[in-house]
Amino acid sequence: MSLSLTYPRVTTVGDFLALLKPRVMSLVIFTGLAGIVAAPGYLHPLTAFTALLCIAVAAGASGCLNMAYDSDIDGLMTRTATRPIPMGHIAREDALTFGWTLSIGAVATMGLFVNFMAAGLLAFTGFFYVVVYTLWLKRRTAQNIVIGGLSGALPPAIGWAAVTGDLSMAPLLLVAIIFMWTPPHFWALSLWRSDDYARAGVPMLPVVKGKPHTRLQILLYTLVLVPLGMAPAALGFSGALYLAAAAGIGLWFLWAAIGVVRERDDIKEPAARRLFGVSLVYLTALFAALIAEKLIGLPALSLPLAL
Amino acid sequence: MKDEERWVRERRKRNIALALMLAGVAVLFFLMSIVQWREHSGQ
Repeated sequence: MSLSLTYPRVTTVGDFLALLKPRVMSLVIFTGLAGIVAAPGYLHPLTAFTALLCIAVAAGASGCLNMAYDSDIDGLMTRTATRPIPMGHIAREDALTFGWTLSIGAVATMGLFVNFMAAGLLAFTGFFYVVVYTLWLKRRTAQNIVIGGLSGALPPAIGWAAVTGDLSMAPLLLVAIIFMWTPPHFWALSLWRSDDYARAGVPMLPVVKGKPHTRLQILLYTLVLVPLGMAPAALGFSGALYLAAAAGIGLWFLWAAIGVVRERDDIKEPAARRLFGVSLVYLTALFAALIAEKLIGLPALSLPLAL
Repeated sequence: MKDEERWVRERRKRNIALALMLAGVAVLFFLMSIVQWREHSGQ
């Protein structure tokens, strides 16, 4: 009889990085940067970098805590089964320690070196995502991603507050755009992942109300989102480049949403997959146009509605 | 033996990453302290 010693798989750096949801983090960094660039006033470049780093780390920490608290259902869904905790690559307790440490560290650093308004908003965002969305709403209501979407919408306001120390109409408009963008984006995903959600007992809209109702809701939200996306230009916060992007890609978004309503393939859901991609292009283009206008120095439009 | 080597290597990589991260935070805090000090002293 021989005694064999086996070494357990050590948790790698890659496992910790995967806990931070890098793809979600990149979108948060981008919209947070837009808030910093669009805000009036001066911020030392290193302070701006610190603010953006805090936003990124806090977003990653929220993603990590979400994975820790949802590890039981993540293992039941195809999309999330390969995450580090259900795979057994990292212990849930380690992920919780990692997430809370980063979260508290990011908020404290923001408060110490940037300002308390930005730190308060950052803390609220993390609280809303982890406690209100993950622990409370996600498993209880089909409106989970509608209400929970507020946390993903706040980064431009945090970026803005990092520069100005307060909030105004413009950053709240950017928050409103992401808030209205979130439901069609995630409901498109949930249309072709509805079996996954049903298996895990997550009450996503297609599971609770059915696919036809979800398709209609996607179109209704898109009908509100497209004009809302153009509002920054109409209200005099942004210029012609932004308006062109918001109108052009907004119409493409609307066309894709109409395609989802007309979709008859309930299995593969090609129109929903297309809408998911278009929604990512839409948000990226809107904020890229906003950043480009500010960096180039293009003037804001003076339309009759301008405040 | 291969398992042991891999285990030691992964652990070392993780420790180096942690050390670099902490060093980065320390440098950032140092530089930000200078920025804050200069802003508050009006320089």
